[in-house]
Amino acid sequence: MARKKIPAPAADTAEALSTTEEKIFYASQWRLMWWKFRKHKVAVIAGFVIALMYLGAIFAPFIAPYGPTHRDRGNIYVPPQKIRFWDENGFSLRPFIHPLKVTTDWETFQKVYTEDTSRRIYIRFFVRGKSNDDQYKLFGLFKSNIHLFGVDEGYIHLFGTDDLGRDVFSRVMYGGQISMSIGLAGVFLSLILGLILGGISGYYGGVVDNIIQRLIEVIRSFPQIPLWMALSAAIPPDISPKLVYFGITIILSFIGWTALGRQIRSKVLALKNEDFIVAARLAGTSEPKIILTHLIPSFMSHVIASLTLSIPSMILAETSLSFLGIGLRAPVVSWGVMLQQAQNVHTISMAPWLLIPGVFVIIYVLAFNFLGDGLRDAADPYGN
Amino acid sequence: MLRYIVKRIVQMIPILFMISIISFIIIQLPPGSYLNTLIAQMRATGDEVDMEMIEALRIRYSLDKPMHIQYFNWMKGIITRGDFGFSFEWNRPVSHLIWERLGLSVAVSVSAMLFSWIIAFPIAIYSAVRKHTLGDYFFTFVGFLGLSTPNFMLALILMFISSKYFGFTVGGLFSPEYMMAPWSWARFVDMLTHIWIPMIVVGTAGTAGLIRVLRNNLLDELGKPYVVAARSKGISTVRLVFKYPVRLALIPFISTVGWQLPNMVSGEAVTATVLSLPTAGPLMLAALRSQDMYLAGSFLLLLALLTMIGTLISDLLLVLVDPRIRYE
Amino acid sequence: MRSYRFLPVVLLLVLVISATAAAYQEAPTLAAKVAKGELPPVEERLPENPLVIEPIEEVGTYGGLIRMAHRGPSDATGYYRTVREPLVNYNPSLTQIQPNLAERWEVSEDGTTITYYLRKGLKWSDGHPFTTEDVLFWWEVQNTPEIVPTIPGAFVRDGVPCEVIAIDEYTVAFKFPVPAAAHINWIAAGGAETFLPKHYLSQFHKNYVDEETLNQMAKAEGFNTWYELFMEKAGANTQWRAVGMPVMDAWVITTNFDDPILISERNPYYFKVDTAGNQLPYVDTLHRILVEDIEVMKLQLINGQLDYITRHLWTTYGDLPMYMAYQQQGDYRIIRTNGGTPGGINIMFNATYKADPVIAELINNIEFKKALSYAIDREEINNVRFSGLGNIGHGHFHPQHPGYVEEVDKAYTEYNPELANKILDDLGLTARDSEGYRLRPDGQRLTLIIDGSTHHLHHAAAGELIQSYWKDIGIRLVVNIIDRGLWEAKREANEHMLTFADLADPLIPLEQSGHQITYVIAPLWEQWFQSNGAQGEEPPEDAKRIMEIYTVLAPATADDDVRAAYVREIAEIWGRNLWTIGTVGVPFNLSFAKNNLRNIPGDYVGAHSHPANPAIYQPYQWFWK
Repeated sequence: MARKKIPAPAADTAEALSTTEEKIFYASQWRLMWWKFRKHKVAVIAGFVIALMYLGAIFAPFIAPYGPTHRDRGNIYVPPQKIRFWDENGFSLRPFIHPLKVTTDWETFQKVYTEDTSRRIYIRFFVRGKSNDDQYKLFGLFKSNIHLFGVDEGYIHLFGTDDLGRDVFSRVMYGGQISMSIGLAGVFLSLILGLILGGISGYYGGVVDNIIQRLIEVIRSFPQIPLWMALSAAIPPDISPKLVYFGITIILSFIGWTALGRQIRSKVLALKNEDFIVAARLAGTSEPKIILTHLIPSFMSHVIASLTLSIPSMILAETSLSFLGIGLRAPVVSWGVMLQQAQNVHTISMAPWLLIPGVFVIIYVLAFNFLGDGLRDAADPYGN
Repeated sequence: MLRYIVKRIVQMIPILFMISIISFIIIQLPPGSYLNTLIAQMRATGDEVDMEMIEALRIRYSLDKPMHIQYFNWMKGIITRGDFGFSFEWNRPVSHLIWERLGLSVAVSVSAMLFSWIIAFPIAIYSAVRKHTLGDYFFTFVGFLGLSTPNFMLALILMFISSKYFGFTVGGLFSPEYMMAPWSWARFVDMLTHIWIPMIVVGTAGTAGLIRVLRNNLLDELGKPYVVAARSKGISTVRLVFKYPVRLALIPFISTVGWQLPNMVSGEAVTATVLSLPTAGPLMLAALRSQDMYLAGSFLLLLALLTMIGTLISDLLLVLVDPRIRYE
Repeated sequence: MRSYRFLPVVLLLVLVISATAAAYQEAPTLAAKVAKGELPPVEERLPENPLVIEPIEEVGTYGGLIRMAHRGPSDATGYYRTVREPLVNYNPSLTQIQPNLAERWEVSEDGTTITYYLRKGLKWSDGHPFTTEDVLFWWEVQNTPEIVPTIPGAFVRDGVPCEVIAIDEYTVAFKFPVPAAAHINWIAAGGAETFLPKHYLSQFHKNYVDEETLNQMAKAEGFNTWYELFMEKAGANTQWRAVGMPVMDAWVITTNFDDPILISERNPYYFKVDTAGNQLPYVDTLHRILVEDIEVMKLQLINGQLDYITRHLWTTYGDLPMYMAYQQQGDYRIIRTNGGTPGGINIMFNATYKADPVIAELINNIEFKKALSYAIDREEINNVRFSGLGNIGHGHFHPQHPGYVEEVDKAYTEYNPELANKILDDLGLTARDSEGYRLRPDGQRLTLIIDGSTHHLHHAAAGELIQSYWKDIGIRLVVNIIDRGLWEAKREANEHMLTFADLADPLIPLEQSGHQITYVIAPLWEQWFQSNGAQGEEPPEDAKRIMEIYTVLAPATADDDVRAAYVREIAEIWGRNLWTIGTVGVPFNLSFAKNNLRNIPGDYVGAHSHPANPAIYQPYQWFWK
């Protein structure tokens, strides 16, 4: 890719190469890209964040103190609890929380939670879960009920609890498993469809172009809502909601590639008569190879932008259909589902911590974008 | 070029027919009919459901007839009389309903579109030219913030804030005292205090996308030898950037800009529902859900037509912007 | 004739008023019009004996505007229930039937004939006299199949429609083929208004104008047929309210139901006065703002943009903490009113489920259903969804209802998972799979599917809780929340296994037809009833008895004691069969009114889920203080 990057050193200076220069000279393209990428601090941090989030998702059942459906019975809308290292009695190396006193104010029908600052509940590590709801199978293999942290007495709710008394922190952890996996598959599928069909449409033109463009118009005009309704009636309710959701993302990507397809086509239309393409064609390079190795790399930036842009919409797509009763359903939890349940005035005015999953979506998307940016810069043959 | 345009317009007719048939079938694919929605509605409000009346309605609405006959009658009405059928739910001819709401839809969409363009273009160019500066990161962050927040929620939050802290009225495009009033300067000002919420909500998602796409495409161009060469000859950055790179970076954007046309009708139906905007989007959404089939079908036809016109416009614009592009 | 008990008092009052108060007062806006000669004086506009309204708090003052919210044409019922003016009406506490447009009435000894005596000198909102002609015209419309496909069931007995006979200008009789004394309860409680303005609408009806001419008129206005035009002019799909059509209501609409605001202005010919002789209503104008999303209504309420609202928010008890927290900002008070949802979250078992014989047998097994009922922690549901205000029980009937039987309502409702497990073990469902779920006799995992609708927010939340309770006793529950129309279609097609009950499902009013009830618990029984045994499946004796009470016995009598006995019988039959298991219901509706909007009756918590809320609370006497 970085084919024009390294100036060919003159023969007479070859012996005078310093070791650094020598390293650059003999380095492979991939290595060069890696070096360039490494210099891009924000991208490296973003990559680190992404790795961390996926680790979190993989080990979610271990990190989360409770299972996603475990209810702290009756303690609904508990605000996030603070982890403390000191209070009026002084400093403690072991973090602790203050227990909550619950009273129901029958004047306002509100549960009032006050911290009992006279007592400390220490946070313990590698504790056993409180009930069977907290049991899990790591990687679907190892059955366990050991959790990274927890408390002996009562509950700990780092992000508070929701309308049924479930721990928001635990649900966010579990939710990431779905949101960061299935949606992504859909994103890549529509990317591939868009690249191939858009590329063909632009490169070959004529009848092929006409057919693909008309197909795009038909797909764009396709009435989606009745289609989803028909599907929601046709799919047996007791098959796995994850499978259903996977199917939905596949269908969504079969519909969603059209915009990218047209954008790629326009890029190809503009580029296909450029000198370097014509040269490659005259040199007898096969057409698929021209598209793949010459055309697509020259609009990589656009592809990366489209890719990162479609991630949030895919994560949120599962919720945009929920008003039709299609998509993920309990007990499966995802960030989208959590956000969807938070979309009411009551939450915004009385329990804003239920919007926390939204923060995770934003972090994820931002990190993805900066990572993509770094990759783009690293891959850019003209960049410096 | 003229031949090309004529050819494209002629092609629209069979495709429109095809889409109308597909739409008509898909609308009726879900089990049940509009009458089930009607029954559910009546039961939810505690009204008595008279089964004999429902049966009678089934006959009146021709819901007992086979689908192809319904389709044929509908098409016949459109072609011979320009009659798009009858909305069951609203008990009015479809044409009475659609046009009323299209005006406001266009107003909201156009303002949101302008809002997003006015913001997106300068920011994108700034971000590309000043890549990896604090400003670039800041705009990226804000853009993705808008993009990652579901529109529905953003609308609620903005309404909550605007009502709680600024005392604005929520819902609709006007304060109650101006809702039914004739147009006046005061009414226009009142609309401005309301239209910013849909403008921002509908605009933000698009703005972030536009910024990213433009910025990244510009970056591709800015690194190219012709730009480097021009710059080394001392051409000012601003002139340089606007002369070619911006134009070329706009190509992907232009290739789909025509679809703003159908979006004016259907775009952001969910947001409009939340904001109680009397636009066409929510009407269409409701019609599709309740299987109010002639209303829904007419909307879909309109959208298909606008999509095709939009594609054509985009294709023509592409040639204008980039002379390298040719259609044979 | 219990209906006469209170009449002498009212009549006396009326006589006193009409004898002494020769001078009535009117709203300043109307007085101005009278001065200009645009309106006749108030004495001429009022009937001979106006209906005198006892103020709830005090005699009010004129003027102002009440802002409410609605969801457009499909919500026209909400407007109807605010302004409704039937021939006779209930009092706010729903204990007595009172005169309204009719000053008195008679029910014949055999219960077949109900005769109404209209007030003399009543006028439509355009000043045209209101007589029995208008009742006959309404009946004519009911008998025009193009407009009303079939005559509403309330006017039909044994398949034979009643006769409507005008005895003179002010006397009209409804004659039924069989005893139907309770018909008047239905009229008073929220049933149909039985009149339409003949002088205005007859110009659009084919019985009065040549059909060709009418069709031409229709074409000119963009309609295909004369009856589409008639329905538009008469507001047939918006509860018979349309711009330009005269009404008997306190306010007349001046904009359409799909406009941003439905505006109604005072009716200068309204027939009610207060005890000081002021013509009602006090408030000049009603606004119903078009709001499509319920969340926005809540926001408008807490933001102080609505002056009164009950419909749409009346069962959102879960939001009470928010309503309380924003009471100051929104400047409103919360009033509890009649109604509520006795069976708020109710699980119905399809008694004629066919798709899976094993499941069909189980969900018709009383012991099995008892186990399911014992496994539910109703206290938690109450706390989580109803702010602890709910009433735990099966919710067949309202606790205040004279027919309420506590033992039946509370049976099997204590939280006892051990007992539930034991019952299931005793049924032989002992084998379990690796995840702890019980196995059916044929070795499959025991899975139940419950349907709910996306429109009913309780369904999804309650579904999640019930799912976890039943998991504890080894039963897997799939909560299938689908679009409202599909939900209904599935019931109609007898495809549902379990389903959440609708708000309208509680078995309260005997004024309602029994078909709604069998339709939900067993679609095939309903088909059998509807087709007189030709289709569907023959129901058991218990179901037949319930239907007999609903369709024949209860409608025939207006005797409250007899009717209460019927209700008790229904409750007992229902409890015996456990066709449904209830969880939590709430015995009142919420309504919200601005603090200085007065004369709204205080907390009325009664048995009836009154359909005409808030009309029953007399909006015409509300005023701004």
